[in-house]
Amino acid sequence: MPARKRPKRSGEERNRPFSLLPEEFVRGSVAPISATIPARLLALVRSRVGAREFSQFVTRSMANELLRIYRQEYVANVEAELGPLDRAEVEKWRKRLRG
Amino acid sequence: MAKAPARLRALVLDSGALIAQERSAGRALLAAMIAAAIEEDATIVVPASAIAESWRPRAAGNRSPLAATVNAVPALDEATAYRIGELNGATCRSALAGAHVALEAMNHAPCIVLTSDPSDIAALLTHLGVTNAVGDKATKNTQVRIELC
Repeated sequence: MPARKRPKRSGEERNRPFSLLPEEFVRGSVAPISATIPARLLALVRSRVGAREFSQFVTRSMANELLRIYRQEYVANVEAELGPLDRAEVEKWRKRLRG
Repeated sequence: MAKAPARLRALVLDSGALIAQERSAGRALLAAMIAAAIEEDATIVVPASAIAESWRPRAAGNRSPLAATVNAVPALDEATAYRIGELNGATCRSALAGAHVALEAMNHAPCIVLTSDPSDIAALLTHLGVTNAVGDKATKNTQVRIELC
């Protein structure tokens, strides 16, 4: 059987190293999980990620989603207190982040 | 050939950004920044010494609400401590957090530093080889851009 070629990581993945996850998400012992995932999605992930990198891929995905929820909660709390965000200010920050 | 997309900037927060959330205007600014970070999927970093400089215990909780939104809190380990000492010695400064922020800004470049003291961070960054970093003076090629909070 031919050796499986390690897929190249995209630039976006390279820019987001594993170490750049909140330490609280990755600290301590690990635990196995059983999850039901759409077969097509799983196949697409497996085609891009080696067997040994799969747990890291799932960890990174879960941590990024959790971080997104925390950030949304922060924004929602400020909006509940001070009213809707100034969209112009958000756009200004988006522009700064891109260049 | 298609031009490669520019790398997204990370956000590095100084203690001033953490203190800014005590004010309504500061909270609004930080919420706009975090909303942009959600939409762009940007990395947010707060050096541990910036938390140490700004954090005071409160009845509302035992953690800064902003801390839950960050990707990384770089620790002040031994190697970093020596680098901070060198940087402060070379620039005749003594503030721990400012030098730690400047070093982490270099580690996460290209990035934006959000600070209440742009001139101090600019002086530290100048020593590290970054010039014209403050606000409108910064260009697309400026590795570390400094914004006032």
